[in-house]
Amino acid sequence: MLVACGALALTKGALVAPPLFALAVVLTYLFPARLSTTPARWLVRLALWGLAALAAFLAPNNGLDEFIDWRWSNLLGYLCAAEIVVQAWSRRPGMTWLFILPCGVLLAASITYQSRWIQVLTPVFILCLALSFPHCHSRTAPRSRGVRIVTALLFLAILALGLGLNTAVLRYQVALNEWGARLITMYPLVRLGVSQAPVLGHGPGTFSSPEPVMRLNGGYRSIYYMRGIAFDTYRRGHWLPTLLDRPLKMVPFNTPDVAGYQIHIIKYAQLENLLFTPLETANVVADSDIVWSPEYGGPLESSSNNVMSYRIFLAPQGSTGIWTAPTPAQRERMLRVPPEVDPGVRQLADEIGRHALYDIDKIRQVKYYLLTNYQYSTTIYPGFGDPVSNFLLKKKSAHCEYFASSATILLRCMGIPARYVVGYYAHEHEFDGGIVIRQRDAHAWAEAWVDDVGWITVETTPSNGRPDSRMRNPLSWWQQAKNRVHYELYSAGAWFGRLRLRHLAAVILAILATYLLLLLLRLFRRRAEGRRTILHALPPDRRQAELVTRFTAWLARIGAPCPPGLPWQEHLARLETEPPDKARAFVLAYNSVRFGSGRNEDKLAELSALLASLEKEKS
Amino acid sequence: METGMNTRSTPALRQLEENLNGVIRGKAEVVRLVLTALLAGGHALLEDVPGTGKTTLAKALARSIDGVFRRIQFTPDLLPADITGSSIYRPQDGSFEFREGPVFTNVLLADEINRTSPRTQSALLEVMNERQVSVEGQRRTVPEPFFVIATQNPSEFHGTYPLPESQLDRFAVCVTLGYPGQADELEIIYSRNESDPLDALAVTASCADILALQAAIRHVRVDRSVTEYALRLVGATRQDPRVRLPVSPRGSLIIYRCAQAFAYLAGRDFVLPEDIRTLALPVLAHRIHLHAKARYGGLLPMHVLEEALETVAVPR
Repeated sequence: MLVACGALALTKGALVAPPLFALAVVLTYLFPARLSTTPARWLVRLALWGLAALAAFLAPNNGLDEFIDWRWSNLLGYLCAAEIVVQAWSRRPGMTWLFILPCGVLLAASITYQSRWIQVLTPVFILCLALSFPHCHSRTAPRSRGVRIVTALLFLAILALGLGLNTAVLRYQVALNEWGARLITMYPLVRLGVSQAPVLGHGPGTFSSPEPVMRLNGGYRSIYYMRGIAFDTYRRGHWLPTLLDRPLKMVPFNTPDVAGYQIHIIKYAQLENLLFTPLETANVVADSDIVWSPEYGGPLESSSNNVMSYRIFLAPQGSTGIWTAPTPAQRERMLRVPPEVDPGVRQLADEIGRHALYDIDKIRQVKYYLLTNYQYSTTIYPGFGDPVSNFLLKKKSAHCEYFASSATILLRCMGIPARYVVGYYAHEHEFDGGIVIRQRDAHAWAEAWVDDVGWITVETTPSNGRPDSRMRNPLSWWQQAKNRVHYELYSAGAWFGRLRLRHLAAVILAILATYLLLLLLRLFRRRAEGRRTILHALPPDRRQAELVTRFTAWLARIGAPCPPGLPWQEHLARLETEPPDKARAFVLAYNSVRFGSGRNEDKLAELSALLASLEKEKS
Repeated sequence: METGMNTRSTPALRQLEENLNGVIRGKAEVVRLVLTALLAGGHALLEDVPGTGKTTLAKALARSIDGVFRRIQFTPDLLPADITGSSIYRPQDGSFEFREGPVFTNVLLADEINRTSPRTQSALLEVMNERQVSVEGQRRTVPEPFFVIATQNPSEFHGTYPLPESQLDRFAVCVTLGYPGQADELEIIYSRNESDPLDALAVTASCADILALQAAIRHVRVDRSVTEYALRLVGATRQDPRVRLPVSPRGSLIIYRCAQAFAYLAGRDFVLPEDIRTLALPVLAHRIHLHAKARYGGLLPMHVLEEALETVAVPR
């Protein structure tokens, strides 16, 4: 707390807390001096945390009830930092890691204002603090002067170090924030690998990293083409309009509820709002708002650019889902072949579709032609002129973007409305049946509209060029293990994320109630033990026991109750006022009878009489 | 109403105690504790700085009981044979003659016992426990009564070998003489003006009397509740998480025996809980060894015992 106050005084910033208190934790292990946790201090800490948590959760935040105000977040961060030092310096350092680890995460959450995590972790931490009551000691052992001096010097050293490091840490506050955000979100910052402004160039405009981007659960297929953005205008090797050209065209996504197969998708990518859906999507449901661009065949975007999950309902057989028939304007755009495309491409298209009567057959012919006459290659020199023309007429080996672009142009030449789509090719099944989509699964393909059928995915990339075939080197064992840990961690986090505060509150209240009950039982047991101890102290002889009870009562009456651990003789000697001689005589005589030669009726009678006169005297 | 009195032996013991108090001024409690250890058949460890009267006490005790007194000044080069004795070759008849070491005595002062090597310390350990020495395969018993008063300087650490726990456990009591008060110190100076008080000491009890007293104290009555109280105190040290090595059953036995001796010295034929409380620190404290963390926190074994004395209920 001293360090936190010092830092606040200098910079009014909370970012200094994590490294300073981490340093304080390390330094405490170098010194034997320990803080004792008395019940009073435990109560103060619990009260502080309870009040701070209540204020943070209940304080209004301009209607943003799911978020905690940044000031309360800062306060919780300070409490966390102080708690780390207290726990590290407590008398049982071995147990404190149970508190330090969640405290550290809560600290990072507070600094990066991750409200959800604060809402979940704070009650858990308070529960842990409450359960630490048995580690309180009601009395501390006396400390030598040397230890006290060392403790005081240590406090001063930590304070000086904290204030000195303050400036250095502030310099890296941005990096610290990013580190904190990464820690909380548990995953590396993942960006989408699909191109949002495709250009037919030398190589694929995507990443080949195995980082997971999405995860699918449900559905009935083994392969999905997860479409992201569709482009309907081709111009000199570019597919347009880019996303930047479409913002004004994004409208709220509202469709009626439909029943059908569901796919549950978890999007790991951050700082991206794109939602990826299969072509036969009938509805999309997410916790955040969704907007889309139906005029251009997508994309769908959510208002959240964090890790999120959403559900997709697939359209029943024969239905077009959300991607309806193109309007005349859309149709016109999707049939347009720009003038820079070589006339030889149109001739090629006529030749391919010569024997096909229906559009569906033409599409099949195009697929067959491209798959059998062209090779996959990740590098191509586009040359001068139109890249698609060069590919179709000269080069004949390129990557998926060229294949998809070529299929689109060829289909347009045949009078079939087609568009170019980028997205992900979901193929990699995991142990639980779900499909994981990685960066390297980014893909491009064409979509064609067939009257009475609907939109069709046109895949023309040879199989050896598709992402599933390009996985030449399977994941190493440690990568698989890492993915598994990733998955388990995320599942736990997703489960936590689905928890509502009322569920958590109910669980915590139940645990607290059970704990309080156990505490009470323990208290009753100790009292019973205490009573048994007192009973043990009583002599087995009834008359002697009666004398003990009477004398104990007499001592209490004169305001000098004897502690159970002190003999009467010693107790009388310690009294401030001189006890009556009869009291001393009674004790001496009683001891002789009790511990001496044993029961003697005459002596007991004398003792009783002596005690009676003592009682009469005082009253 | 009279308390139980031991009329038979009180005068002899009282005189013995007075003898010792006449030489060691202002340390009546220490003298009583040393006599308690003697009557209980144990040994005493005196931890104190030089010049406080440890040797004088041992000599006074030996002269008072008409026993043989020997002193061993422990040094790092002392060998076990220097304590127990060894066989000497007689060239006249070609035989070996055993020459007894200083341990064959009634009262042995083992001065600065922590300055000798553990090997030599262990030679003393056997004789303290079993009253016999093993030399060249032959067992030889030491005279009775056999009483060891060992001393060590608690503030000197250079060239010392701390007594191991097993040896510390064999001392019935561990006491500190301390410096006398000014009045007592004046008395000490003036009493030694003309002659040494030790020279004027009269024999008050024979060795046989001491042996009889050691047998007699076993008849001192110890109520079951008092024994259980002593065991509860010992049990408290065993349940304390700060204690690495608590009081052993030997400690329980010793405190029981010392309580009998202490009550006998007080002129009673029964033991009171107060006797257990009085003897707890001198008899049990040196048997308790704490964890390092507790030690660094400033905790001492006497603190553990004091806590136990406050919390364990005294039988009424």
